[in-house]
Amino acid sequence: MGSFASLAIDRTRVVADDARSDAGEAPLEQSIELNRFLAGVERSAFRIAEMAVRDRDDALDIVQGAMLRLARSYGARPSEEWKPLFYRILYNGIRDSQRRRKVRSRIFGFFPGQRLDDDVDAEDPLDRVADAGPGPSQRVMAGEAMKQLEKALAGLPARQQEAFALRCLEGLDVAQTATAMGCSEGSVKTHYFRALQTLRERLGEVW
Amino acid sequence: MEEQDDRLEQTRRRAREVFDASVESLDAGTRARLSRARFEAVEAAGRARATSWRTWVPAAAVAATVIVAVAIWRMPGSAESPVTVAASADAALDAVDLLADGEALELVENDLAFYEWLEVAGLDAAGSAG
Repeated sequence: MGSFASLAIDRTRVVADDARSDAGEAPLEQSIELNRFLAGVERSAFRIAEMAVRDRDDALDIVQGAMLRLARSYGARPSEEWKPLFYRILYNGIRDSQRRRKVRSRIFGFFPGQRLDDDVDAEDPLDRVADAGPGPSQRVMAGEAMKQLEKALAGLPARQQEAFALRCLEGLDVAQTATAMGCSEGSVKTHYFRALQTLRERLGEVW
Repeated sequence: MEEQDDRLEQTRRRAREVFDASVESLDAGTRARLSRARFEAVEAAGRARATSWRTWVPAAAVAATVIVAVAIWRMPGSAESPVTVAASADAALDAVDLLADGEALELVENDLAFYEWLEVAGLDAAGSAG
């Protein structure tokens, strides 16, 4: 009965969406919704990518790729589905980048004089935008604590890092994390608990 | 056990605070580049929607036309079926044969019962074929 009722509600919503689409409202609403969603996740997604690949430009590329992929492939899906999908795409991007980096380091390992980051772009004018963020002292403190967290996280197995970042730092629930990681909810709970335990052991004295 | 849970909760909370602070302290250049990437993504979503609309409308129109054409062709009563048409043709040919025969023509002139028989025979022929 419940599923029948929800089907009926879904159907009503689809009909309503169609009606709005006819009036040309849906695309605009969807664009506004997508913009709001991406604005809400872009900075933390960037930090997570930066922690994982340890390179600002690579992290920006990964986040940009994830945003584009979500918009093109899943932009028409209900907005409740975006968060786990976005982080799934983001982590695929992170893994690809890590793989490419490994291959590059293997190849360039044979040429000692060669720079690994030889594809450095010209300076981006956006890098010179005036900064209205927190003051220097706050930044130093936040930076130190963050360095400790990053160091402790880097010592965890990849799946534990992922579970911790999604559950604790991004605030996804267990089901969303399982979708994003492509595993069962039980695995998420196990990875997350172990990650938390290890971080407690490593950071307990410092924090 | 409860003490351990408290410690883990404390670690979780502290990690979240530190992470949130680091997100807040992102430099303006990075924030601007992220905003630019977001605008491009939202624009790309609009383009993807327009493309899918342009791709599907002609395909849907062709499919609908084919479905309507098939439905009309298959609709009962829209045209006589080939079997009915053949039975009517046979009955007509029988009638022509009878009329062409001189003896039958004489019968037609003299006996009204023949008309009744002809009618029944013609109906029977059509009914047995159908």
